Amino acid sequence: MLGWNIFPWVAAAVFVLSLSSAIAALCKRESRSIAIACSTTAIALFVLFILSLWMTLERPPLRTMGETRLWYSLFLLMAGLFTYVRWRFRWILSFSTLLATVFMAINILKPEIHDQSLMPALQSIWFVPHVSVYMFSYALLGCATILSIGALATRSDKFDEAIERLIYGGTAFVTIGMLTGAIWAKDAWGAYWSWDAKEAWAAVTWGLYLVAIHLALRPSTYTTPWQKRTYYIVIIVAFLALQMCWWGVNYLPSAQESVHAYNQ
Amino acid sequence: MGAMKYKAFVIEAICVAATVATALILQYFVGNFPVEIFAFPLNIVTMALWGVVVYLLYKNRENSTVAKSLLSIHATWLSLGSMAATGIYLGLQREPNATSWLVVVGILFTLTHLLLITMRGWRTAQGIRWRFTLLHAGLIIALGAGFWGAPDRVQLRTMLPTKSTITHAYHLDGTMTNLGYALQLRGLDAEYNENGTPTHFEAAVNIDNEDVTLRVNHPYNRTFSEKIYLVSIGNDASYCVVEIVREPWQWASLAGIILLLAGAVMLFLRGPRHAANPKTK
Repeated sequence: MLGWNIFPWVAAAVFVLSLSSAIAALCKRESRSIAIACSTTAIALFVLFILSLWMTLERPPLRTMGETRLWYSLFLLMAGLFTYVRWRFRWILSFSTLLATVFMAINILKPEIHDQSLMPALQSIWFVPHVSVYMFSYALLGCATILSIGALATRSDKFDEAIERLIYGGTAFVTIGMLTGAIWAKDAWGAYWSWDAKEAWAAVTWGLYLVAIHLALRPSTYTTPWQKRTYYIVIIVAFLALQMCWWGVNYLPSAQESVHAYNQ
Repeated sequence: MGAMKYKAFVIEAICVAATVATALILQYFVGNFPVEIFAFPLNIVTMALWGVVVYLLYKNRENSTVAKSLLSIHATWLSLGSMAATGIYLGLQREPNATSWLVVVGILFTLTHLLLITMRGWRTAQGIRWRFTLLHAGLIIALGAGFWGAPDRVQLRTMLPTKSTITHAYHLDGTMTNLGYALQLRGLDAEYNENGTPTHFEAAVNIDNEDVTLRVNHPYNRTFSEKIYLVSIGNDASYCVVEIVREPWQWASLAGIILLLAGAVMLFLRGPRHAANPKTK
């Protein structure tokens, strides 16, 4: 069984395959199939490793920050590939590879205890859907943020459709993650929502992505330059709030009392 | 911006500033919002009155400046902004104070705006806008149940020593209350990891002459509105701590959450109404 000890080798193979995919996408239009094949192989390898780790640990590898980073790296590669296949942005694979590599590198440089223990509070049917849906949404919204930065830098319209679709998809999954968390919280702690530090930052993130969606609904956002810039900036700020919700909150004094403290 | 729009914007800004200032003054002199006095039936009465006022505003939306302002895009930005601001305000506190006047005013404003725009936009000439309605009505019900139901929510804790019969519990402020039934701990079962952290623990408890097993994530539904939770067990397995939550509005909250979930699934499946394209927008 493939345990945590072989992760550096898996990460190296995923990196090489993803980098090859990114280079193939950048080089020639004809090498598109090579880019897709390399990227798909990297994702398949990553999925195999996570499934194997799941079986080795005898629990879903979603408990620690390190484990959520694994899923985030995987979903980033998937979101990057989806964006490349769907909208043919040749450079998106470079960014999704870079971001996924950063998170894989953090897991190698700052390994966490990946033992079999799963505290009773996490032994719930909501555990896997809540965390994995959130991680998937983070990846979609990460891609939307990269495209927004690209749109701000190039002042081009060509990213707008992809940004809007990614924001809709990402916000839908953020909403599902937040609501499954609320149902779970009622079973675990007796309240759907208690304004715990993590929940408060989840509300901030959700509110900001709703601002982005409502901005996208307004035709003037796409015809008035300053409104368009505001739209991209809101997406970037929302992604910063999302980082705060995911891991930044652990560094706040308010998180010391958090009921979500087990993910630190 | 035209002169009329500018004037309306200034009036809206003054109203917001005055409301925030009033909330801050009340917070300073009165303390937190007195949630307890709005317990049933006063919360039902005030909610009904609020509903009537919002409905009348909606009916007079063509002539009422207040209704126009509450239905404007500025009100949307303000309610979403107040949601984010509330999150930041509470997210930075060690003990979040969700009953401050500012938070209460922000939620009431958001609910009012949501109800007005839902009444206006739930259907068009083409038919019912399902996604819009599920998302907005779901949020109104979930948020509204939490808001109007908060005064009726009771959270109690008590320690159950083995074999002792307990008939009382404590509010979070330490005051004791009679439960109206008896709790008796019959047995405890716990398993631990090598590092001493628990992997599993459960308590066999007799509740109101019924034997039940309490586990984390598996509360016992004693009545329609009451659930009993296992919080912890003593290291020497001689006692456990249970929490009793009475929340009559919990099913309304769940209904709102389910509607919102359905709306979120539609948000993903349908995507943008028409994806960004400057030529068509």
